[in-house]
Amino acid sequence: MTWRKQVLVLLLFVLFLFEGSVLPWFMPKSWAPHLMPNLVFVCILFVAVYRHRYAGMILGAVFGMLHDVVYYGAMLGPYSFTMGFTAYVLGLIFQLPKAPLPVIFGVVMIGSFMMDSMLFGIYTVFKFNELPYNWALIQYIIPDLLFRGIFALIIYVPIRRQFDKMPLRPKKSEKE
Amino acid sequence: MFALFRMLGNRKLFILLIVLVLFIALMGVTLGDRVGLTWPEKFVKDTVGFTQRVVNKPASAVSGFFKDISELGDVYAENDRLRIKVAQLERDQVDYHIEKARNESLKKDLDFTKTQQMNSSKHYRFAQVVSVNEDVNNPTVNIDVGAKDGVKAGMAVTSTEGMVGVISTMTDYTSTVQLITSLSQTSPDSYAIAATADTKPGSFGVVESYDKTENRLLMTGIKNDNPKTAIKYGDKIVSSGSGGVFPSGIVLGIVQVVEKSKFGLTWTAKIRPTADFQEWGGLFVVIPGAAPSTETGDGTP
Repeated sequence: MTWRKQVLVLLLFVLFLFEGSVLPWFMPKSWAPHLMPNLVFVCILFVAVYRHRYAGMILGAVFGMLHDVVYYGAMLGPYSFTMGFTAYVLGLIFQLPKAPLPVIFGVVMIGSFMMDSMLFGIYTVFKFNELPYNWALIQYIIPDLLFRGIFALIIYVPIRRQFDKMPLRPKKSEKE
Repeated sequence: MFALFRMLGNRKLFILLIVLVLFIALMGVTLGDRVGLTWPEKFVKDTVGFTQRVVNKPASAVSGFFKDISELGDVYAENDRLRIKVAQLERDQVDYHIEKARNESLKKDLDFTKTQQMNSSKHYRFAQVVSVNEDVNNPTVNIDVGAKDGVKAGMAVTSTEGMVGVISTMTDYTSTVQLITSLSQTSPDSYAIAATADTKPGSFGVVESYDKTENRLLMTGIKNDNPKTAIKYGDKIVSSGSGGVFPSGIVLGIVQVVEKSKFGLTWTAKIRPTADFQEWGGLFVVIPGAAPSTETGDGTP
């Protein structure tokens, strides 16, 4: 038995640390109000498409909850719910172990758009946000979508190689 | 709807609805002012905070190094400017100490209560930012001081330039700062800062919302009756300390526009925050009350 799966989950945690503690110090100043670099989410969408939607859902819920707890300002739950739900839905529709690059690129774009829109909805319902949707669309949803799409293009080759080395087990659901 | 039933199967739809209800309940319960965190939250926050500190240290050092190199050309001019400033400050400090001593003795004569004295004095606790949440709706940063260092929820946090936010939650070793850019009257986390112009005692207004589209703080309820204390373009706005929540003298920003409020009785000022919310280095937690050790003194940043 190899430890590839465990190592990949650990790498996901390292990416979580990276996007919070390293990336903001190196990003151009003018980008900061337009980007939420949720890079972990991009990797979770890869898991949902190339492995299984349940694996994506559980990873999304766990890392979303980690994000919620660590950056607890408003409430717990929005990230956990949106990341888990988006990964599940996109896994349900697009799950394809041999999905080519354009498919995963589209999935990441749609997923990013879905997640940001759901977050916008949740924060609007709980009155944390009072600005209209079209402002949010221009301000951060579309820049996010492009940023995450480009990140998906960068990590596509290494992640795909790792997933191809891992045997698929169609019967048992893979938790983590 | 039936197509959805068939696609998911009844059982899955049922589970989905239950999960939805559970998450909405979780969001509702954790909304607004919570007093303490439960131990799993504390555990996760402390361990992740520790690893973030480890990861962040080299990253901020490297980025600071590059910044230093890019600013190398201005060093001489800046040095000259700072030298003049230091000389000025040293002269002012003498006056300040005399005034402070006189002020304190007057306060003692006037029998100030303990809370009043707490509100007029404060000290600063240095903190390093360990991670940033770049969320537009819920902007927070984590800093590396916590309850063990005397930090409590609701304390103001400033950078060297001005107020950045308030402490929303803290564990023993880390705390989360909710940025002032999420300040809003309607939000469940809303708070208000009683504010005044620093050179015009008697002027008063309340800062309780932030305009994200223009990046301005809104100061409402200004009565510009007296021309001497009227708030105008270019005034520096500081917290007045009269609300009892934040101590006085925390810089908020510079007035850009003053206009009549909706009902025409009071005035509203749009303030450009002096702190920038993009570059994260050291922050200061403002702790009310005098510093525990006299060595740090008033510790003005």
